[in-house]
Amino acid sequence: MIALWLACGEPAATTDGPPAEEIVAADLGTHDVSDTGWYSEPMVVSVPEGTTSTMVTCGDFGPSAVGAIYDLTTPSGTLAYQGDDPGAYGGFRSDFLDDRAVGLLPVSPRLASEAGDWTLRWFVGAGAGGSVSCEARHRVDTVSERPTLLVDLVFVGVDGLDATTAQTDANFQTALDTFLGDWSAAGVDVAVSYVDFEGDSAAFTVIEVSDDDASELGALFETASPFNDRVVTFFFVTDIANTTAGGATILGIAAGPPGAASLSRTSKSGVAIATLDLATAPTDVGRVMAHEGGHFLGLFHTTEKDGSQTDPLDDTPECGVANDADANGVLSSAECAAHGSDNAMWWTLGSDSPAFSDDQVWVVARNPAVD
Amino acid sequence: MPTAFVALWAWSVWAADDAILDVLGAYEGVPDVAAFASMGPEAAGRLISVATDPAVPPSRRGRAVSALRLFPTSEVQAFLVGQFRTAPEAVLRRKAVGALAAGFGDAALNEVGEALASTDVQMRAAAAHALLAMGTPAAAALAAERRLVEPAGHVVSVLERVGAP
Repeated sequence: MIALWLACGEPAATTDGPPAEEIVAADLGTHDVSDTGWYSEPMVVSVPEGTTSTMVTCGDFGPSAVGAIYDLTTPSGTLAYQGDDPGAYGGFRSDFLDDRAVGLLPVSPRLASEAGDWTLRWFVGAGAGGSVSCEARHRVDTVSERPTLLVDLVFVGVDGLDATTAQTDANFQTALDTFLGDWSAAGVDVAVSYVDFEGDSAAFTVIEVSDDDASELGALFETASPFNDRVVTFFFVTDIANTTAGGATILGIAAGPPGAASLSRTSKSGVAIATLDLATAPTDVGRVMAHEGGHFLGLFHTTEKDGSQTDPLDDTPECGVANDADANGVLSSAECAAHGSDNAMWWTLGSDSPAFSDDQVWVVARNPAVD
Repeated sequence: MPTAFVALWAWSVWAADDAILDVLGAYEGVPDVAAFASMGPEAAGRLISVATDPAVPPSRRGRAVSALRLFPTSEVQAFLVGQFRTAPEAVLRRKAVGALAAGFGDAALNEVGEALASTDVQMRAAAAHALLAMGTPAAAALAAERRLVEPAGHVVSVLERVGAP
């Protein structure tokens, strides 16, 4: 299938997308999972020579359980990460995800995806059942000087917005220009394709998630079926509601972090963006796209809202809890003005001109979805 | 009133609203009651101001409505009922029914029942999820009644889960 890609609003060359042969898939087997919690046997992941990045994933263990990488050992035998004390190692991070656990190397320049036999174990919490299939996807190529990300824009029952109208809708184009501009300023080009949703739009245009059930979001992401597995799918929905919080809106949500880059049709294969603000604050919608795209590609919040965690990067400012001047448990943008609140991966829409750091761009440029 | 005092008062109001908008602008997270603690008893009033300010983007107005569930007073309940019945934007009406259910429990069943009879399928879906989050026997009874007449399959599937173990 050939698609016409548009970059920065201008027609670009027709392309088949990033070469599929640059992705080397490896089957890591099928494993029985206990519904009371499961530590996997050590799995050896053989990273080929010339590998830029490696995505590993195990699933599906259902929306009632969460899983993550428990420990990770380098080819030279060094323990690089241990889930019981994740802050002690640096250079890697694996957050608990429902239904499908995903790990990505690299998420920091401090721990590259070097060739050789890596060993990892997974942990899946209680509530899982049956068996899981695990696999690895290695991106084997060289990193481009000017990396490109291909994105499918899928419209899910948003009033007045579909794959045709969005191309001339002034507000949507403002949002898109903001998204493209933020990434372009970081040195990453984004090319987009417009796609209509083929599923039940009424069921998916408002996504309801709760603290312990994101199955509706996962079901939406499972419909991601770009012609090329390295294309990232952005779903535009009317609203995303957190039913644990009285239906409060979530501005955007990415599979992961990190998402299952280079793997389609899984519960971790997309990004969802709420369009409530398109008419009045389209720039904000573009900022949400840039931020959530960052999550999918392996970026974390520079500092979490409560200061409990930071990203594994060295060049992004951290904002410790000592900056919480009003002691309300929230590190506000004002309190962290000199400590990362102007970064695109800050936890809230704080800055009018958010930027990505060099290390963040380094990580994104190596993601399996990027060429 | 001395000018300096007025200026200080105006600055403090601006700073408080700026802080609320910062919290309401989180990409993914939604604020808990601690996030508003430093605003003291004025927090609910500030949230109502944000919720009714047309200059604020709809997502954050909706989040302000949702956050009002954390302040379950009779004044807040009256405001939320008003939003549910008369807010011009569908999103605010949806958020109001969710906040009523989350903040006031069975005392909000009249409004949730009205929402389940709406012609707007997204309103019905929001109400169904509100019942699911409530999980009380009265919520389960209302869900059982409404699922017999609900035309949308995805709403029925939510109603069927209300009260289930």
